[in-house]
Amino acid sequence: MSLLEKLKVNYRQRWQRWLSRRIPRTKEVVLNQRRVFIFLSSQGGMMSLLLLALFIAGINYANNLILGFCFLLGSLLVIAIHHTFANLSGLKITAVHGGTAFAGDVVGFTIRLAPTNKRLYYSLVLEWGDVTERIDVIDGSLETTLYLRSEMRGRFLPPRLKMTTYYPLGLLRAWTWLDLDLNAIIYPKPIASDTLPAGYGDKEEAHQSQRRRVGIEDFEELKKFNEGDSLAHVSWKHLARGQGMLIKTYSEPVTGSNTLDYQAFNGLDKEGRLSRLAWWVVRLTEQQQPFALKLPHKTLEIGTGNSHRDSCLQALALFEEQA
Amino acid sequence: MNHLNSRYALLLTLFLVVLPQWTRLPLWLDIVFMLSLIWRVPAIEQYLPLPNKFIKAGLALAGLAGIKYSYNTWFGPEAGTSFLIVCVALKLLETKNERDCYVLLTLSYFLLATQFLFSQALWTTVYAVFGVLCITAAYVVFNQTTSIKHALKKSLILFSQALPLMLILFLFFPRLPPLWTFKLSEGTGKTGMSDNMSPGDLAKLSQSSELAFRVEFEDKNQIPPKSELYWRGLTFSSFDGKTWRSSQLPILADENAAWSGYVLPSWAETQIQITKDKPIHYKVILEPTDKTWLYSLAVPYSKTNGVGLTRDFRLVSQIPAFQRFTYDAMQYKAISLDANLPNWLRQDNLSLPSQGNPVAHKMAQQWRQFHGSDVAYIQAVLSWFRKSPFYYTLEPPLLGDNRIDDFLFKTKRGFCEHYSSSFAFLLRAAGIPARVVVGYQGGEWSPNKDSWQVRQMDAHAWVEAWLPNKGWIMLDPTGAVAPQRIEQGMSAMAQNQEVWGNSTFSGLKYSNYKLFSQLRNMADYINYRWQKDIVGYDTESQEQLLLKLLGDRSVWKRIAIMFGALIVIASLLALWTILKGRKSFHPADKIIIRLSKKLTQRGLAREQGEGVMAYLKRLEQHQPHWQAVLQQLQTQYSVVRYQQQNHDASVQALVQMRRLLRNWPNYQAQKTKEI
Repeated sequence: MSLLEKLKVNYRQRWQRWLSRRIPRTKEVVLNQRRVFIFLSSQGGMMSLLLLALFIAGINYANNLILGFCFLLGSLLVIAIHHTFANLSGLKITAVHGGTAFAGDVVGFTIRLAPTNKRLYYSLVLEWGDVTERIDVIDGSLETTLYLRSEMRGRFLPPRLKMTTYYPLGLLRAWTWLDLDLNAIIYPKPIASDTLPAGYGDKEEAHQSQRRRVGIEDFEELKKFNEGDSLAHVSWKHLARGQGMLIKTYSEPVTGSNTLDYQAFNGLDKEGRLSRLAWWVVRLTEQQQPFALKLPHKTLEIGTGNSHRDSCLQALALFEEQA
Repeated sequence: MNHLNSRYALLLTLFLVVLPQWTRLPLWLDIVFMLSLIWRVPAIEQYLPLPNKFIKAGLALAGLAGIKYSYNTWFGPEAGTSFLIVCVALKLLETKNERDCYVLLTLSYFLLATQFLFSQALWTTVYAVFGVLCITAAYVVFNQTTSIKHALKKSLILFSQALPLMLILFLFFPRLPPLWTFKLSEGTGKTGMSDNMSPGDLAKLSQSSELAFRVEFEDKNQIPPKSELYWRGLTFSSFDGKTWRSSQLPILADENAAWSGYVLPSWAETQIQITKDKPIHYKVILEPTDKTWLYSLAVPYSKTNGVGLTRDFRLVSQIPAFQRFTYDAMQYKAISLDANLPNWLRQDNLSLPSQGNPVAHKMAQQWRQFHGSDVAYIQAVLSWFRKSPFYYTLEPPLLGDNRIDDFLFKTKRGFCEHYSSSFAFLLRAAGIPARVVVGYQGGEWSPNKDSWQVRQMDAHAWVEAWLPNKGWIMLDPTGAVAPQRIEQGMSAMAQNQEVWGNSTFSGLKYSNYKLFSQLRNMADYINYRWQKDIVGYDTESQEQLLLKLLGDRSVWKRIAIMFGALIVIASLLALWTILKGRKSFHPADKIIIRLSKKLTQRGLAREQGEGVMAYLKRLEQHQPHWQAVLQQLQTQYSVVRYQQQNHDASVQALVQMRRLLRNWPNYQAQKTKEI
């Protein structure tokens, strides 16, 4: 590593440390003079050159009006500092919600922008990772969701959100870097696999044990309909009689064959196994087949429906996660 | 961004900025600029492809060549401004992104400023303010999505806040000397005297009420009567039968003047004999003439740098007055000027064309013989002018080849030009050295009497004759014909309709004159104050004003005060921005916020959007032993916030709330819940 690179890294680290002291990770932040940076934009630089040209013209031609014009534009630039700053200051940003997604897909982060005063905020540019959005906060508070591309399984902590504004003249740029306390759960990227990674089980044994679990084989009872339950199991007779949505539950002997087992793969690494498990979770949920998930340190009981799917995927996502 | 809005804002801004330059620019440039504006109107642009780079390069070269063709140079303000406009037109044709638009907007600020190179009048400034508002609004349009109206409003706010800062800078900022000098080019066709007197020149001037110069007398009680205010500008001693011109003798050239600050040449010591009277001090503020000659009362002397006294006792400036020029002058009373007339000068002031005007020639010689002396002859000619039917009119009939003869013996109608020209002719023909002097005669007070205004209409021509032992004496034949022209001045003269002649338009001219004379007086006065106080705010007037304001000459103190004032204004604005950015709370709410802050550590802070009552109820559930205090707090809070009570009651409730907060009971860990 060359000296220059070392210096760069060193500088970057110092900068990050300084920034995290100044704008720490929070759920909610109100922008103020501590958190807003402001400097001339490139248009402002151009304007400064113009001021210089006017000034020289003014004194060389001994032309008071050109000089006065130069002073007026200079004053406008100074006043614009206040206005540009005011277009961020007093804005409250709240971390609302981080979504879920499969690795490689986009995941939404929702934030709320709310004025703490009567001011209107125009043309705020939100830059988050590689996503850019331009918004106005002019009718009270506003929630917006930005979709960032996720990379790998696990908890996705978004980078700092950069909020920039050039309003009103574009001559100055006010900006802030916010570290919002948000995270998204990124599920393993599903990879199709042919064989169900069924856990070991024995039908004889199951018959003997008489233990039963939710399944598809034998009718067991009627239950109230819950979201995510299969429509195929709804007792339409009962519904027609006006007894509400009831579903018929079936049971089957516990055999272990409907258990998605982490250990049931041969010759695959951790991520490979998780990806295939994720695929099966999605697949079985779509087919409305009950399943259980067995991970080395965690077992999810047999179940079905979207909430079961989500908790399984979450378990896969956070499997052996650092920290 | 609303793309159409910003495009139209840009085009409109550019149009407004070039508009005041319109008449000044060559016609081809006006057309080119207009075409490129129209080209970029979205409705037209979609049918017309933008030019490629070869065409643009061609256009740029053509523009440069056009400027060279129109101005003969690529430098100087006129050519420079035109060049800038060519650049803007080309840039407009290649503008694609927002950045290009910003370049154009910045250039339009610059273009707006360039009009001050050509005019510093009040209305120019008013227009410039309007222009700044528009350009600034265009900047806002590029930065917001709402509306043009919003942009204009924002622009107005920005402008009004910038104004005080600008005024302080204008007042206090030291006026630095030029880094290098420019010369504003000549030939912009200013109204005023020219270096010769051809027929009709002065009549044209007499119809212009434009200001020639202002005079500020140091002692207002010591002002000579109006009839003695002969502001000498040029002397003409060369006559070709038609036109009077300045002498061609090198020694009389302006360059050989006695410049102030240098040792006086010998002629200035010997030829000028002045009385012991105290001189009259005055200051002349000359409007730009693009000429070197200055106007003064005989015998003049000036201490201003770059001003000199010529051999024919006029003041001249070293540099042509391209801008308003102010000089100090003194008027000394002369006993005699050129008492010993050198022979070369006598010859120069006696020469006449060998042919032409035989009648006048013959009459002069006969009369001179008959009257015996120069003085008697002069008296006789003047009384002839007075008694014969000579008329003063600005619209004289046309004269033939023998101009003097025609005028003296046929038409007898004319104005100062005719009278002075023929009078000088009659003097020379009789052997008396004489020359025509042109300048201004009279003038009038400004409406509030703080300066003496001389207008182009006061342009006048008279005669100086040389008499043995007396030297040069001033003679005004026009005074003999139309004494009121001299005594009351040209503006009084202009009240008389006959002066304007009998043509179809003369009646119109006369009524216009009457109608506008009052308005014009007012407008002129405003313009005068503007020119004097704002445009003419130079190092000297700054010095005087700041001395009056601060009572101190220290430069550092001034700079400190300037920066101090700027910082005070800037920080007031900053404070306003920050304070306005803060949310204002009701005092009762402030107490709840303090409570919430206090309990943050325990995880009992008020949540986003949680109502005060709901929050207090939640606290109650969480910490049952706070019930009593919380109940009280709720009661007081609702008293202050929700009940229409008198002022005292709510103040008391607030006091109680504060007391409750001060004596807040301790937090107790919830053991019971966990079991």
